[in-house]
Amino acid sequence: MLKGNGLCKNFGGVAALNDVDISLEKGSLIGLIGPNGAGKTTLFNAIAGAFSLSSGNLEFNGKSLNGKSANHICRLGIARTFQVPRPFAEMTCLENVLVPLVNRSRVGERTALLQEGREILDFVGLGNRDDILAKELNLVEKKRLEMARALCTNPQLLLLDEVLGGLNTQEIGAAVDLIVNLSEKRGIAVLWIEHVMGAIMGAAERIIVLDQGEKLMEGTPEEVAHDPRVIHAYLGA
Amino acid sequence: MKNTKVILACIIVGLFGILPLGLNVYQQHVMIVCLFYVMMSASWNLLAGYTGQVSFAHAAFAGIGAYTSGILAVKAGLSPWLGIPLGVLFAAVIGFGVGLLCLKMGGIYLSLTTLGVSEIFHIIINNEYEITRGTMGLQVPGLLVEYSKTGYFYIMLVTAIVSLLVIYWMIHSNIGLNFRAVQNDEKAAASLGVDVIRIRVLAFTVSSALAGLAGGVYGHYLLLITPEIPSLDQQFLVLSMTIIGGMGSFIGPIIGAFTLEILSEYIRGYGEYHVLVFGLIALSMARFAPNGVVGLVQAGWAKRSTS
Amino acid sequence: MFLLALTNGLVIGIIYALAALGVSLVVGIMNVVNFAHGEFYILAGYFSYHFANTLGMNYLAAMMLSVGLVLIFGMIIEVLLIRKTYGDDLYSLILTFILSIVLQNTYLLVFGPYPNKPPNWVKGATNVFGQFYYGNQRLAACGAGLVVIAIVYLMLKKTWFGRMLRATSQDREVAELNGVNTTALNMLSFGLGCALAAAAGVILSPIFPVTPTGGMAVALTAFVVVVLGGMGSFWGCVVGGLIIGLVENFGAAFISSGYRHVFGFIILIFVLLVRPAGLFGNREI
Repeated sequence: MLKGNGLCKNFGGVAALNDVDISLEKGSLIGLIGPNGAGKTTLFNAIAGAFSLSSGNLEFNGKSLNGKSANHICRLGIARTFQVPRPFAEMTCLENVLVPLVNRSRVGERTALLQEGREILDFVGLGNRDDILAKELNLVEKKRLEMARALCTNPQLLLLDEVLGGLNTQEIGAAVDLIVNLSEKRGIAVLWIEHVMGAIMGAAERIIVLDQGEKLMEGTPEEVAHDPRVIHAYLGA
Repeated sequence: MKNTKVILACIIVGLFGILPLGLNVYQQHVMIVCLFYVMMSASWNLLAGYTGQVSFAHAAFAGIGAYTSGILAVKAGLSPWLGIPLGVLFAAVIGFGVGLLCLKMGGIYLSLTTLGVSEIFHIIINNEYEITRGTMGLQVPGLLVEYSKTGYFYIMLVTAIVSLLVIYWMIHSNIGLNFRAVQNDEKAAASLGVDVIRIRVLAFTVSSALAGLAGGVYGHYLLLITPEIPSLDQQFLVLSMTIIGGMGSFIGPIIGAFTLEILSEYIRGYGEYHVLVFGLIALSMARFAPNGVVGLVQAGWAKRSTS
Repeated sequence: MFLLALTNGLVIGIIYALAALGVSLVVGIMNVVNFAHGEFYILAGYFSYHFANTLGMNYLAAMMLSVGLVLIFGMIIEVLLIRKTYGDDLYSLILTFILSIVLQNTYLLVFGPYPNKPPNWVKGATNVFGQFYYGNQRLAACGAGLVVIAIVYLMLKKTWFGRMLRATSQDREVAELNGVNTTALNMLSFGLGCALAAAAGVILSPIFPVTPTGGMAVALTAFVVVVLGGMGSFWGCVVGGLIIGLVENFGAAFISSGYRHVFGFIILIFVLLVRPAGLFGNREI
């Protein structure tokens, strides 16, 4: 459903993304890993329309994403979370999830939307936090809210940017279950940046490795874990 | 809860409806000015308090409304009843343009650009003396065949209620939710499907149109349209009223407008100190209680309910 | 006509750059736009008028003392008002906007509504290019402006204090980690910004007498220059000042003098549409 060819992004002469190809099928769960500064978040920003590509083609369900604004891309069915959560701080959790709900292409009754919002908050484990201002949440809860908001856009493709950082082992287990559940039961494709290797290696079908803006390799978790280039990229020369 | 609010609003409006009976001509005048500032502050708050676009051109938009209608009346003999809607339309069009112009800008850049727009407008008024009569002011016909303070009070009251209803509807609808999302975090809002461009320009257009309406009706009440209406001093009053009342709340600017206008009439008895007093109040409020009277009351309530 | 407009444009341009320098410095280091910049300028003008005319001080001493007093006043304002607003640029803008109105009305009360003019430093006029006579006081002010701009440049580039300022303006957190006391630095740099406004005020008030509300026009011009040049950029400020000075004076000479200031705004809006961060700005906005 998502096809990207020759994606490039330059920031003032520095290539943050250089000739990257990417392809995702419906319901797949793909991990995106790489050392810091490899261009993972840049790739997300490009797909989600936070900025435009320097060159290359992005297609989603046969429609070109080039030059489309972030909100347009969201309505086409691509949702994202931010590495550092960006909740609407001065709004309640319920209002936070209501924003994507009222901006979907088909808007229903307010009461039905509120119901749906509460259900999704419940689903990510924020069930009793409806009326709390988002700024009052702790980091873990903010990450959950981030996820809930993304789900409320009714996505076909979900871009997750380090959702496990700062969670303890138990919480990681719950979060991974939730993500796997999304992809298997709801058929949502997931592209997932993660530094918690154990979690992503166990959950993802395939892994894409980026290094210095280029795609180093793509393969199953086993292939990636044993590839000398990947080990080299992580440990350095 | 919702019903009590509606009943309360009806009672207040009803009281205002019979208010002129108990007021002398001067007090009626003060009430009319109050209602003008209610419209100005509430519509500025819609832009600044709900979408975070702190515009310094709001008074200028009131001026656009007033001068459009005034010039049409003087030069083309058009009735103000037609001229004011045209002024509103023109203010909306200019507001739309300024909103578009400021799209790429955030925060300070936007504020300074609107300051520039306001200044350009001022320079035009002063330079096109033959049309605008410059600082002398443009004498315009009234809205009523026979001048009556009570009549104007009702006109102003109806206009203010219509403006407030529009604003209330907006902030409590999906649009208002999007306004606040954009104010809180523009990038996050865009990633969740909010059309940030549309929302920001919409806020600018509606807020400017409402300022144009306020300015138009006010100008035809004063019968003299001067550069005072679109001045930065006026902008300062509107900003102070909103901040003292409570920015980002529906009721705040209304409270601020009434309190400060009545206070300023009271101070005026002792000389021209009212702007200074306003400034000092606004300065200490903005410094120590940035959420205004409404914020203080809310904090008081919260304290009470927890203890 | 052309040469006169050119001379006017350059002289006024230097003066604009001088007036804008303080705003630029404060924006660059603290990300605060001081709306009351013009009121600090005006205050210094009043001080130097009263020190020189009322108390009979030597004009140079009066100027120095005025700038020093405004520096202290600026630091007090930073502690009382600005300190709380860091990180919220709109909050500081609103606060300083209110402050500017409060100061204007205070000046009206204290100094009265009439224009005050400190003594000229020099008399007469000089023949320029053999074409026209140009007031010596204007030329002297332009020279003094250049001196102040040069001093600021040397201070920023050569001194330990300047390095600290530039480090803070580039990355506040890193500067803090390296032991820069940013609280004291903020107070000092806000005061310095006000002192630069004051320097412009004492240099220019013999030419443009000060009035209680005259600061708004000064601040407006300074904002236009700073936004045009790019917030916080030293060279942006100088080049921006010259561009606005030239555009306004050529526009006034050849198109319409009444719309003098509008030309500057139009250039500004045009530049912002193409380069939203200004000519020399690289800040992401």
